[in-house]
Amino acid sequence: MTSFDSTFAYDRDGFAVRDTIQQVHRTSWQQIANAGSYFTGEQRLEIARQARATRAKRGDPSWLREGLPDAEGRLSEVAVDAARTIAADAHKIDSEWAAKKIAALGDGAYVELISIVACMSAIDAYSEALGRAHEPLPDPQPGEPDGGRLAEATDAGAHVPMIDPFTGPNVARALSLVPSANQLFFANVMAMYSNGSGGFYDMEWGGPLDRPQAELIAARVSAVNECFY
Amino acid sequence: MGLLRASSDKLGQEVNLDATVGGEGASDIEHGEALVRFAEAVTRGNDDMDPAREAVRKTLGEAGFVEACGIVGIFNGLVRTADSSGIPLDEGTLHGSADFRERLGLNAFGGAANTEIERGDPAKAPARVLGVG
Repeated sequence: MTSFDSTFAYDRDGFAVRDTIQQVHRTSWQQIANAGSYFTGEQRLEIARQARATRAKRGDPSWLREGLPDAEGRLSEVAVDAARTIAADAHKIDSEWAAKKIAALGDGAYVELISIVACMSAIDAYSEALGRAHEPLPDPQPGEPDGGRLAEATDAGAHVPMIDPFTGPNVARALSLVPSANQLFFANVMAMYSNGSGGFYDMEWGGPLDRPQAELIAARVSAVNECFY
Repeated sequence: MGLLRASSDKLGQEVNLDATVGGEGASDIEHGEALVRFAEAVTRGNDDMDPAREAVRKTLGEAGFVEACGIVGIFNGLVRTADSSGIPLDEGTLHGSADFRERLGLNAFGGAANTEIERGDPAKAPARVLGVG
């Protein structure tokens, strides 16, 4: 069994990162390396590798992104294209594009793929923001996908089924079709989208960053990504 | 952006949402100009990243800098989740953001097609954003 205890050594690198963030990043690495609901650990790591490599070239037009890694048969071409597009061109995704990917992959696999790419983007962007190197990807772990999905998920007007109605923050149901995928990404949201003394439902945060400052950052990140949501 | 406005209102701060799309107004929030510059530099991955990082460190201190990194990081994941899942805006946000979406150019983003934006009506905006505020 691979140990993940030595990964994300933020303190060793001189950063006073909260333990909750370090722990959720370690857990995310472990989960990505293991089989999910629709992909094996090897396939999930290939999604992560494709996402990381393509996002690193996000400033280039898609047709100029040379040197992206070959999946070497670990993933279908459709899955590779989906991972790359979500990583670097998510703002260009429309219902037609998503429908084609979902028809080829299945809606559960598409949701799982989103969660891995989103998780990688968040964790890699965090390292870039801090000014440290990306964490090396772990080795794949054995195991088979369990096919898990939320039976109650339904058409809520999105590209994929999701829980509806929902009483929490709306975006928190986006990946609810596949509980393991939802947990992978939103555990990171819970840890990173707060300052340790205030959370989503608090308009006033204590600590070194107040809520308007956090929301200003969030809004600028969204706008630069051309994200309507 | 609704949460930016709501949280600023709660603290009695004026906020100019133009700052979020590259316009003026970041200075309305403490150290806002440094934070906007940092968020943009990391998101684009451009040459301004190192000086922008040091500017945030200098103005917010190490603890504030690390927290800012968390927000930059997780929103770079959240935008990909929203755009690729195609999740529409919830009713409260649909109405509560109607008064600034068009002005800021947000309705021109591709993801706007996932929401019936023409139904947005500021008169129906809830007093509380996303159930909080």
